[in-house]
Amino acid sequence: MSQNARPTRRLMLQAGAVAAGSLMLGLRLSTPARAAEPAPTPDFLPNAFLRIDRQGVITLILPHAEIGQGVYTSSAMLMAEELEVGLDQVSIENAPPDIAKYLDPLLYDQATGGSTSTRTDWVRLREASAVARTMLVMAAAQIWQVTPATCTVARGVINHAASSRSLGYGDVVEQAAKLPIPGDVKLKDPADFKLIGTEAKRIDAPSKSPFGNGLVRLA
Amino acid sequence: MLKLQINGRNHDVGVPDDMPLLWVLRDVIGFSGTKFGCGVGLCGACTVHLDGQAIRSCQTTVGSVGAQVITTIEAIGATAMGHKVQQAWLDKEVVQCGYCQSGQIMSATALLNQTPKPTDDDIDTAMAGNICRCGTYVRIRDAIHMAAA
Repeated sequence: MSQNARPTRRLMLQAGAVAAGSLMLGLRLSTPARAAEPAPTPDFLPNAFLRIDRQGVITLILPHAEIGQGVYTSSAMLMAEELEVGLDQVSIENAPPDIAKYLDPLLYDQATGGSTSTRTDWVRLREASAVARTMLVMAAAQIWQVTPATCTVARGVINHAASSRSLGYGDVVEQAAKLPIPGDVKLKDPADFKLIGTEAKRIDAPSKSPFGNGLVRLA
Repeated sequence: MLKLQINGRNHDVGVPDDMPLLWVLRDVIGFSGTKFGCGVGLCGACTVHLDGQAIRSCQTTVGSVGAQVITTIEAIGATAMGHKVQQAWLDKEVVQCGYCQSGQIMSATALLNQTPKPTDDDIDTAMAGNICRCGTYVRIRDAIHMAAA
């Protein structure tokens, strides 16, 4: 076989771009046919680290590799603490490569190492979560026509005690996604920590424990 | 065609006699819970049971298995002792990265089946061939004592 018979890398890249363009076009063409259906509500994505969908599923998008050091658990604790949810309510997704969003300022790279994960996440993830909680509470307060300060949150449910009303995070994501992102949020006083400082069970352990039921998927 | 009895089921495999049992388990049959670590019998990641004995499947040719019964990590939890060991592993949070743990659990279960109340020395001796890069040895010992209780 001659060298010329093979597709070059450049040709492959061009072919890929065309294929992607076709896919985009296909989606657009299908839109009118779907117009009668209700438009899908976007998930609540207040920042690069957090996504909450309409079912209330909370996903921490984490740019650290879990290699046994427990970072899935420790970073999820930071998020759960400020978001006022249980550790069992946070699922983890690996962040895609995106150095603009996921730079570790201590390593100056999107990387895991040097005992930097918790030092990096300590403020970053708590702020990301506090911003989200503030917006979600504000959304519920708007729906109820009350002041946000009269609302409380427990396990991802916003409560207004005076009127005995409550809404889950998933119920208000649509409203929250329309709000401006607050520039300044107050982090919790360490005296009020419920999770940070506790000996939480590792959230990755059950999926890694060789339980003979197909859960063992390491290559 | 070789006839193998694995986890209570018969499997016919058309492979050369000198193929390591580990390759047959992982690549031919698809039981990927057993891990390839070093490939030379030094790390214990590939441990399975042959008639209840913990053996290194990377050093066992499939032709030498004969009628002996093979049990892998996929089925050890269905045995009373295997289930106790796995529960202790969770309760003591032994696992870190997880790669060696299938082999650790297979060696620990074989030990407890033979020595129901092992001492620390019994454990260290029986588990000496199972290497853990994360260093979970202390918790492994705790979990074995817990499963023995």
